[in-house]
Amino acid sequence: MTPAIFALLLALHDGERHGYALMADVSELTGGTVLLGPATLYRSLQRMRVDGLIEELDAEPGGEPARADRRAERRRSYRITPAGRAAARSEANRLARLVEAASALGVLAGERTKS
Amino acid sequence: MSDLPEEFPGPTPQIVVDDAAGAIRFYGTVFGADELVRNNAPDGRVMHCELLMYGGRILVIDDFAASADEVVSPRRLGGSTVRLHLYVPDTDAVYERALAAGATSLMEPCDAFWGDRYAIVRDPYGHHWSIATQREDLSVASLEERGDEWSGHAG
Repeated sequence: MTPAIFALLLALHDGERHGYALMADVSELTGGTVLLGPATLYRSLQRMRVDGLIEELDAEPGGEPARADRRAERRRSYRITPAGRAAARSEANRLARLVEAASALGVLAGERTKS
Repeated sequence: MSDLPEEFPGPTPQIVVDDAAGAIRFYGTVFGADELVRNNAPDGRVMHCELLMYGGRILVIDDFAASADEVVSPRRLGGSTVRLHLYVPDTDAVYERALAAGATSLMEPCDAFWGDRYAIVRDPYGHHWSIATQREDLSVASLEERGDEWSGHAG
């Protein structure tokens, strides 16, 4: 799972979001360490949709109908699926274990204890 | 983090066909390809189409070559110079779907010595695909041993 996809799953954890809102959400969630441009955003959302992690909702009420191609991706809304929640939980656990291992090895304190 | 686009790692095949719209339908039916974006030329031919299939991306375009020394479709070439290798969850099922959709069998599914279920088809537009499913997770040493054993018997 790419950092972008994990961050997008977290951004979608609390509810539906528009594509364009997700770019700001991800920046805020990650303290600016993951910055999604539109190209990575819509390709990540496509991958997540194909993998069943998210559902694409209809375009804004009164907006244009969804196009056959995927270029309107940013204007659409997305909702996390149960599989998406399970994937986010699993990735969070995996990362937590790795951070714990890094901590036990002194990797986190490494910069300070190095002499 | 590098500046390379995260969703486009490594080489991306840009395959040329003489009927991109038909080929895109075929890849959708057989390989579950999901279309992200398509740009048409003024005459309606496809000049760019990006598909996501089994986690990888591929570009499919119509044949715009003015002469045969440019990149041409396999039908115009009368052959192909590249085989696209595709890992899938079930080689036999994808192989059957490909044949049902008009592909030609070049190798029936078999258990290859390198540990994969493996088959080869030529799609109706002339592109060759090796379809594989990993059956065994082998070390490099085992792969070399099995290769030597195979070539020894074959030779």
